[in-house]
Amino acid sequence: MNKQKFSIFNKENRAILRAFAGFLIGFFLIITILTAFLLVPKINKSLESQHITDSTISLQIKSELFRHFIEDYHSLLADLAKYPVVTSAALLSKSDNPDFIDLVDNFLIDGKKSRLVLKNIAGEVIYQTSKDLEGDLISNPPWLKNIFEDEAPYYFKLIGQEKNSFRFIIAVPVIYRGYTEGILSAEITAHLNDIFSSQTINDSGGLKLRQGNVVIQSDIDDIAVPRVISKDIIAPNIELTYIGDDAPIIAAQNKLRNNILGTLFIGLVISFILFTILGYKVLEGRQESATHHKVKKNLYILPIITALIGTAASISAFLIIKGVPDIASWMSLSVLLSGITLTFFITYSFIQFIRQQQIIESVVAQRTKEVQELTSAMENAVEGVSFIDPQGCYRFVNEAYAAFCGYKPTELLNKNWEMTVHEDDRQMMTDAYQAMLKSGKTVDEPRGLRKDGSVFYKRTTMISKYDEDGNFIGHHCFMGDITERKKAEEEILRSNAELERFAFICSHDLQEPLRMIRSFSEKLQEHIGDQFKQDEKGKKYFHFIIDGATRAQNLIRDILAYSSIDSNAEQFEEVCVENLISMIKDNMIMHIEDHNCKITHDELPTILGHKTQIYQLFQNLVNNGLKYQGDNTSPHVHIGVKDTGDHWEFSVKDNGIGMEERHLNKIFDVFQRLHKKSLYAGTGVGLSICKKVVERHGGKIWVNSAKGKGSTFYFTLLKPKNLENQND
Amino acid sequence: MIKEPKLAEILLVEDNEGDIELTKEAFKEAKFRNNLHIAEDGDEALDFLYKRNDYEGAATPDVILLDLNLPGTSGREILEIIKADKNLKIIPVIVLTSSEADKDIIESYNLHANCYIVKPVNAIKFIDVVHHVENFWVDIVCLPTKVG
Repeated sequence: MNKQKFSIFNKENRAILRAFAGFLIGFFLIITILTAFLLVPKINKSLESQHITDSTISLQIKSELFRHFIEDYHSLLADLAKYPVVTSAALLSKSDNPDFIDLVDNFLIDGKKSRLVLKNIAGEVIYQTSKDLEGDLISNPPWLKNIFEDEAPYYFKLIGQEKNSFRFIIAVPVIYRGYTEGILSAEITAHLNDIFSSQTINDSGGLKLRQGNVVIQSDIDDIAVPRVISKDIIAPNIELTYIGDDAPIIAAQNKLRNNILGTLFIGLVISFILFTILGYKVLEGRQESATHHKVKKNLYILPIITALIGTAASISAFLIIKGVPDIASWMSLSVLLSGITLTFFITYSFIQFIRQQQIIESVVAQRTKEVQELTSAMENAVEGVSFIDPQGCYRFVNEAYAAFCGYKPTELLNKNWEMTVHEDDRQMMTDAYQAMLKSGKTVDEPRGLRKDGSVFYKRTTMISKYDEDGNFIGHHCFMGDITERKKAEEEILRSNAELERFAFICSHDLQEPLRMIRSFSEKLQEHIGDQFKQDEKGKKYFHFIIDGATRAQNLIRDILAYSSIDSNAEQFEEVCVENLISMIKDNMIMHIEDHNCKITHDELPTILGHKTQIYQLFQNLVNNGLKYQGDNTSPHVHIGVKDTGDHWEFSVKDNGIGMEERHLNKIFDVFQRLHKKSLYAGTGVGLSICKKVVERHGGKIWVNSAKGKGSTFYFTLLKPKNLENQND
Repeated sequence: MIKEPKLAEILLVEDNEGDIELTKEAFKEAKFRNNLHIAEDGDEALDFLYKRNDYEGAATPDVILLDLNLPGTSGREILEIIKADKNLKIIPVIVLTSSEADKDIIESYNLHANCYIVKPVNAIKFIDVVHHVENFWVDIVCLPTKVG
């Protein structure tokens, strides 16, 4: 047998692999896309909102700090405004008091000499610490009016910013005995850090303070992606704004996404590679037992490792997500679960796939073994086996086949079949070949031709052979040498012919002398006449003579009937058993009436058979039923029938004397009798004829009986369809 | 051993009326007084030997003449039964049959038949043979004393 090179990329495997790879890739894509488009944005959004919340809280704290900052300056100034020299200066609109000038000129704010202005109720400047003061401090801004009218909280005014510092004005009322007598305002320069300290929310973020058109802000030039994150209104006209930098957030988000996707992707890629390697090994290993064994041993290890990697990847993803604060737990859990489920599902599918492969492998191995055994069996078979192609040439010939024909197998290979068949039978085999093409199988017995030219008989069975696509590729020819059997058959035919001749002689030549004995005994009786009437002994002797001759004639008649069953090769015909029984009844009408007999029957079928023989069969059985009866009985025979599928089972039941069980096995033997002649006459051939007829019709016969209980004879006859098959 | 002349009890198992007639005639002409019993089939013969059914009180035969071809229970079966029975096996059984087949002869002796005689076709010879049988088995041969 040719060993075909195994390819994992054969038609079947390709389809399986394609489906499997498609399945894996599809799943990977789905899980990755789901993670990328659903989970990551959610996580990002959550991160962002967390960030904003944090910023807002920080900003509120910052606002509070700013309020305290102003309050501190305010308190400082308010304390100054309470000095009596200050209130009297405001009240009298005079600033020539040396104590006052000394107090105000030496008043320090943040360790520096302050820049102060005192106005009276009319808004006139009573005193100012330096001449270069301008703007709000000298003029009367709208908010000053509010302070005078006691509606203030507006005692604060931003002026502007210089690089790292900013200036503002703060004003307090000068109150004497419950009445506002003047305004004391100060221009203060503070460091930006005093309000926008380095303890801001995010190093990279910036703060912005706005009052009207004046804006003071920390350095925001280095913010990559600025975005207003939060605002806080400190006073009705002052607001504090936090400008965040989104770049770190975006970076954090990207990092997180990459971590999740990367972990999943690497886990899945490793799984995929392992699967591919294992799958290849499994498929490749089918032919090589060692590799195969190894793969089988590792069948569960590799997928389990893969599953563990997948699980680890999922857990890593889970942990990454878990590190992000305030992410809904279901979300992270779902990643974990889907990862684990995916890997286990793939693992399971793969194991199933491998199992299937193993089953296929074992079937293939089994079949291969069978084919090898079969081939070996064919080569060594006792029967001749050959394969012949559509051109009629031998393509395979085993030892036995060649030996029957007197050749060696190699001598027949690629030779035409005609050389092994007798020329007179070649046409017959050509016809048989045509028949085989139609029916698929033919059996013939042609004469074969040996190498040395001698003739032998063979039995050939030709079976047509088709390839997978149904194309005829030739036929198998099985051959047996049946020369011995043919000779025996010829011998049997010859001896059968002799027997027939013998039977013919019996029927005619032997009947003749017997007839002479009978006739002339009677003649002699007449001839002796009166004298004979007195001679009892003589009469007895004559009786023996005539009786003996009569019995001999009956025996000859019956044995002839028995032997003719075989030689009669007439075609079978349809026989209506119902009609047959009527005929039997008609023929026996005298006997039936004389002996008060009754013959009944079921509804009987039409069968295919030899009419005369079937008639004989039923007549013998009915006859026996009526004959073997005790004294003073009313004989009753019933003919029944039962359908047993392939056969009709007939029964002939009587109410006669029955038989002892020990005799039942011999009643179908020729000449076998159970009763003495004086009781029941007969030759002992009747049932033998029945048996032979039944057997010739493809059935069997048997009897159920008990002494005194009557007998029932059963026999089966093949149904027409089955009979034809049997004859084939 | 000198004995009182006595009636020789002979059982003929035979279904052929002609042979029965000839045997009867032969024994009528016999030197010794004898009592010829006839059983026409195997079952009847067994009934006679076991003294049952219609044969209660029947004599135990001194000699049995047995045909092989009998309806129902065959001569072979009877021979087998007799020779297997410790009471009956001492009775000499003379197979008297029309069969010349070696198979029958060997089988009969295997079953311990005491002798095997083929019926002559000729009636006179038949009677002659029966005379010889009678002469030998009744007169010459010493038979065991009957018990009971």
